[in-house]
Amino acid sequence: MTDRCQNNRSVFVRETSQEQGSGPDPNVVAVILAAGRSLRMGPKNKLFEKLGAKSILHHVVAALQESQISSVIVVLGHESERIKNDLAREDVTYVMNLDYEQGIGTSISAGIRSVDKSAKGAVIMLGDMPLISAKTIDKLVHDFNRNPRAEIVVPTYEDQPGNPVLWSNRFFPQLSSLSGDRGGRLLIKENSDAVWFCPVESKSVHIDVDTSHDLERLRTTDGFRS
Amino acid sequence: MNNSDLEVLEHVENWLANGHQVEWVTLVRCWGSAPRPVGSMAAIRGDGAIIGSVSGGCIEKELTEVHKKESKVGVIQRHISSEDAIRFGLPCGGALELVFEKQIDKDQIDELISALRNRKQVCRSLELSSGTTSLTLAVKGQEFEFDGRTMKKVFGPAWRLLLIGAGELSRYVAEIGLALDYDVLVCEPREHFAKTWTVKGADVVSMLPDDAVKMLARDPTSAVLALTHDPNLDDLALVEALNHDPFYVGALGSRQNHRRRCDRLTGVFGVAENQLAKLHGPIGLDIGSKTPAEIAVSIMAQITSIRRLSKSN
Repeated sequence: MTDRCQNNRSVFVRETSQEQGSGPDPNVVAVILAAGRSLRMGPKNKLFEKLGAKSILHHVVAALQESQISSVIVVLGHESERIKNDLAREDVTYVMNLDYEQGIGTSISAGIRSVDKSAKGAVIMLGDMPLISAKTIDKLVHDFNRNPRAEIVVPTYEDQPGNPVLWSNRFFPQLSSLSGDRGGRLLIKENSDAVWFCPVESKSVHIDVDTSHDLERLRTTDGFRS
Repeated sequence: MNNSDLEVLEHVENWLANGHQVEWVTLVRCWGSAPRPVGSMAAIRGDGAIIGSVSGGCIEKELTEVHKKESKVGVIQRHISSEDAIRFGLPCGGALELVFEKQIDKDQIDELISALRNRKQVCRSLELSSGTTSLTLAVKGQEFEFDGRTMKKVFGPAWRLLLIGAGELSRYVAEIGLALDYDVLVCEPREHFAKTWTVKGADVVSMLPDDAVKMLARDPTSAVLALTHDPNLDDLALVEALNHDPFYVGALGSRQNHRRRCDRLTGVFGVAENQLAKLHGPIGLDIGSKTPAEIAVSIMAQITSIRRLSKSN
């Protein structure tokens, strides 16, 4: 693994065909944002909608467990007990965000504040992106570890950026102080020199479930893992 | 490829070293159609051989007459007849004023050549009454001047091209850029690409593209060309370039890639629409170019047109 030296602007590590997915990486953790109310889906909480055998949220957790990510933190808010039941058999840590109604910024903040101090980076996952695979996560981790310049690793598919984004711990203080509806986007704009695009082979980084229409479309494609 | 000033100077140096008589002429004023800009130079060897051009061929054949002049330095006027003008593709005839010099300081020529090879900008002043000359470092933005008594000619590149990426296309762009008298710099942080760069006169810098733009190409005499196809390099340079004011910012890629790039620049990096409007993409004039050399021609044609046709010039 490459030593990460922050603000080292002269180093540009070349991509190599190094094996990916070799054992868990203690340096990178994941924070799943699962506190929201999914208002656009109507009264149902979209995170519990089934795609095959698992709920949408469960797909997200399963992909992370299969990846090199060493620990998974789930940020709870709305219907927290139900989420715990849904993920009862998964090895995850929960953190409660009582202010979840104020917006996504509060959930990012709660999640990042509970990340272990030794972590070098954190993937911030949206709970409603069920098609993200372990391979995609591992690619982000790989680029993060290989390249000291990659401090905000953004996956791209067909050159278009998507989610999840892997953040270096350099940005933890700023992420921890997010509030209201302010997500990571502004931080990315303010730190363009830290952005690293990581091309992935799957459209999954662009697909989230916002409406029942999105859900229907996913159910009729073979793309999801069941 | 050398730019034309350096080409002339190197010939002059060579001719002097071989004991030839050499006359040096510089175009200082023109009226009517001018096939060459003021400051253009030519040199004539004792036997009539000519290098360089002050009129695109219209009057070069008459320049050998300079030999017959008594004085060592002076001004001559020449007319381009309408007949000649048509022959050389000009809309009408005109008149040219040229300064000729018959006593050339070889050491000064060497000094000029060395400055040009090191891409320094130097101003050479000539007092017509005495024939005395001097070299000084040029002031940023300084241009050719002639007031009838003193001629001040600036040698060396006043304009800069910063190429992002040292790939094959960059080589052709660099070659043409050097011929067009640009100071060409290549930003290439990827070692394996930097290693194979071979263009003489165009240096590689290994810093990251945003730093390169910030330090080397943020002013209106610079152009920034993103040529890597890799968003991790190109986007960094573009964000920085669009935040400053180089006279030209361009990015390589298909129409579809360009749309995606614009989405990234606005969506991820927060580039404003009015800044994005400065970006030329897909880069180059649409001349149906296919090969790297052809694309380089289309790029340098676009840059030339923007530089020459913009209001400030």
